[in-house]
Amino acid sequence: VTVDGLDPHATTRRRILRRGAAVLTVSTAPPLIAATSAIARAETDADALRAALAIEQVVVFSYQHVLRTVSLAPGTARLVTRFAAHERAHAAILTAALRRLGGTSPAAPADVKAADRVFDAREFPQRLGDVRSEKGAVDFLFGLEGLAEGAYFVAISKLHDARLLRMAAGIMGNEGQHAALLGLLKDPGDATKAVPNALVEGQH
Amino acid sequence: MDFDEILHDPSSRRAFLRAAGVSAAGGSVAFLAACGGGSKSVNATTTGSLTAGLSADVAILNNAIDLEHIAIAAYSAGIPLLSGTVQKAAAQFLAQESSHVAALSQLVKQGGGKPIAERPSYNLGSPRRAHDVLAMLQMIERTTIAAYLDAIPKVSPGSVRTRLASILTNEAQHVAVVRLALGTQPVPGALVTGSQ
Repeated sequence: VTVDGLDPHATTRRRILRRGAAVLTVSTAPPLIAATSAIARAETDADALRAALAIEQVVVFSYQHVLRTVSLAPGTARLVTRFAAHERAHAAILTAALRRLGGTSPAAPADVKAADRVFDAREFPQRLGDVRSEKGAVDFLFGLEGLAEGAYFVAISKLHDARLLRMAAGIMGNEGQHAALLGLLKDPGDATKAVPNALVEGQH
Repeated sequence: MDFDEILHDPSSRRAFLRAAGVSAAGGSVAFLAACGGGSKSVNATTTGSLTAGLSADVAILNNAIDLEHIAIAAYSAGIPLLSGTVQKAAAQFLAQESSHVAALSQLVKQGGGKPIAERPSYNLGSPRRAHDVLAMLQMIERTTIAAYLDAIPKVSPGSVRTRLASILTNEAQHVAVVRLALGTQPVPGALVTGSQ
């Protein structure tokens, strides 16, 4: 099993970056550092969505940073570009759902240091600012997907609305797929390492 | 029911799924609601120490177990036709499907129910090549994902929902790897729906 031959046509890098810039300009609100504990404390669906969106924005920022700053082999770049587009879509879906509930989007990280403060607060063992190589990027994004899985895992324990629950579960499943494919890039051909757990909870 | 027929004819697929205690309406797959008169006989007897919520989940959880048993049968039957890294991955996924059954069975027992047993046999058609096996596994994994998506809002809030979501995510990983082995786009969309 390899990850070569993925469809490279889904979304161009320029389009992703343009869309990403649009998202990053959305918001004003509590510090991102509080995002995870905010999910655990959420009492309303809007609280849970807002906290999940805060994590998703850090994920979007991280993918874009990797695409901008790390030299990736073509197959890896196609995969990361595709997944970045998915993360952008998640943020857009959450933003729209939050808006329907009358909520406002949380602040996205303004720079790498802000993103790393979120990772430190989450006790995430890596820092975006340290990512320099393709291997480092794949390792980082693999861990990042675990963080995203964990955010949705907790959100699902808090949400009440059936439609929002299905949406969160659908996104969580997609984050799990990203982790599996990035795991195959880390350990080519070894799906046992890429999909190690029967019960996927992510980092939470 | 012929394997190719199941794979390519939606009405045959629905019949196949009905046999697993899964209803299909409007092209989507849905677990039968706990009070909806499922086709399986489910022992939902409760004891005083168990929560009413979990006991109400028993029928849905047992339908999930029934679907997991189909996946186990499919992986068990298909693995000999696979080879190399794909076979190794399938063996891992088979073990994970068994773990899902164990996790779901634990919830059923906590709800005062009896986990549904595997059937004596499953009609999985006659896949002859690795590609046939992978296509069958993809169909079963997709169906299972759609069923979990349907079930999550119907079960008790909290740990039962998160348990189903953790299983759904693992099934989503399986289908991505199976699609990769089939040579198709492994992660075609931003949301897992069970339709890809």
